[in-house]
Amino acid sequence: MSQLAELRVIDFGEASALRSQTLWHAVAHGVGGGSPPTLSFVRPMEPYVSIGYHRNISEVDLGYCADNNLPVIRRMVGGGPVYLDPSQLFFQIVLPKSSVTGVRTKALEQLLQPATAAFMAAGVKAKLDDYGEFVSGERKICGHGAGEIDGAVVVVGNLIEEFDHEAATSILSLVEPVAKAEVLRLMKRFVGSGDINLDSENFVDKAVESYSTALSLEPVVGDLTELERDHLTELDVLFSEQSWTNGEEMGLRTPSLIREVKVRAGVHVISASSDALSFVVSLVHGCVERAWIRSGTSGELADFMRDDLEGIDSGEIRRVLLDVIAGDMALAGALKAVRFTELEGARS
Amino acid sequence: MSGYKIRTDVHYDPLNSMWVERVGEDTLRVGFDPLGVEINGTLAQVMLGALAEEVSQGSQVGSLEAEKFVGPIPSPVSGVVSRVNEAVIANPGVLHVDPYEGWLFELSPFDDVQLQGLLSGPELKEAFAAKVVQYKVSGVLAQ
Repeated sequence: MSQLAELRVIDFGEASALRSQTLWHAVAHGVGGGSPPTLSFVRPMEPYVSIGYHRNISEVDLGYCADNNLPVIRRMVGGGPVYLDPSQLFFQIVLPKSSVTGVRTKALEQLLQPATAAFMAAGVKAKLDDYGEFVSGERKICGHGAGEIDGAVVVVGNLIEEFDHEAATSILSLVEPVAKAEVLRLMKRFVGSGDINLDSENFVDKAVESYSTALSLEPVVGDLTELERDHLTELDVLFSEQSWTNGEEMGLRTPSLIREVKVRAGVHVISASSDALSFVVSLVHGCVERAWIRSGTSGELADFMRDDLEGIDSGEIRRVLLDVIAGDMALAGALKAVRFTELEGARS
Repeated sequence: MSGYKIRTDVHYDPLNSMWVERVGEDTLRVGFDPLGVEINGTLAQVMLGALAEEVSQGSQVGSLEAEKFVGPIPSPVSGVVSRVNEAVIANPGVLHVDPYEGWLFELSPFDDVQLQGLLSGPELKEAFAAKVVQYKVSGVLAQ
């Protein structure tokens, strides 16, 4: 990373759901156009759902969101659909593209690593694991996403003071209730800092110190420029449009018949439902932990956990599932596109 | 070359780590070179723009996502997008198997002058090796 002079620090405080997204997208636009590198913070004043740039809106349970007055907002960085609320403090580090390595995994590591000290200052023993996730023990304690926006690289993360596992699961569109229950069970086990009281003020102070040191920049409290304010207004309009939220005209790929929910690296729930057959499989560190199956469309899924499934690793899962769903050509085809080796993640 | 299997019968855009191949009188096929695939990481999503869209050199044709990182897919040459690789959109993992089989899009017509400005032959080998060294020295690629 090249040497830069100033790290602009903007604490946006509390913001509406919409602004908690558009503010930092406007910052990115500005940094890409010549504003200084920026570290910003924002806390949403209301719960909402954010969906990653490439993800299909069908992954979100829009009925649940409507019933619970949860706005759905598409962001320009990666990751899946997530539930956000006022008990999560978000930080964004934004640098000109030219000052960040083009090697994505390395860029993420370099731009997330300084937050480690901030998590520690807030009261959680965090480390960035080999899979690029902030963890404390086995629990993922920070969600993150990244992207290149208008010539700037943005990495976003959060300090989760409390995590509403039920809401985070309920916003996901999953056909089988068993799949939802399994996601909830694994989220409770693997996501959030538990009952630790976190100090967000310490988090902010340490993040400013840590990022300015790591980037060799001088922290200077700042605000949006006029150009950024103008762009903020445009983003407010764009992000409020239903066609943007739905991803219309983006050429998003057709959703697979096989649905994968990543709870954290190495922890996934895979489910599928067709006229002939439905199944749900949970994988923990690449091995099957639970499995359910049903022929036809009626009735509940039956426990399918057998001796030959217990503990099998990611290399074998596809073969076993293909055996199970033999004859269901659509499902078998979809299953072949699932990259099971990526589901292995960190082994404990 | 430098541990990467690269074709020397195509043109390269070293800035964006892309290859460009003439596949017809007025058609170019474009994809990421092996270094481009590696630096992007494990691809989860590839999205490509609409057919008949006119793109200028360096402008965005689509986007990709790897490691929750969304980035642009630029066009190394100006032209009109005449075809996109649906197989790659359906399964971006194809690029990791063979970056040349996993082409991204075609341009027809295209700017032939810009094509001639891309690297090929001996200068390509030199530039490619230099870029790999640069990444390795800076510690962002394994030695």
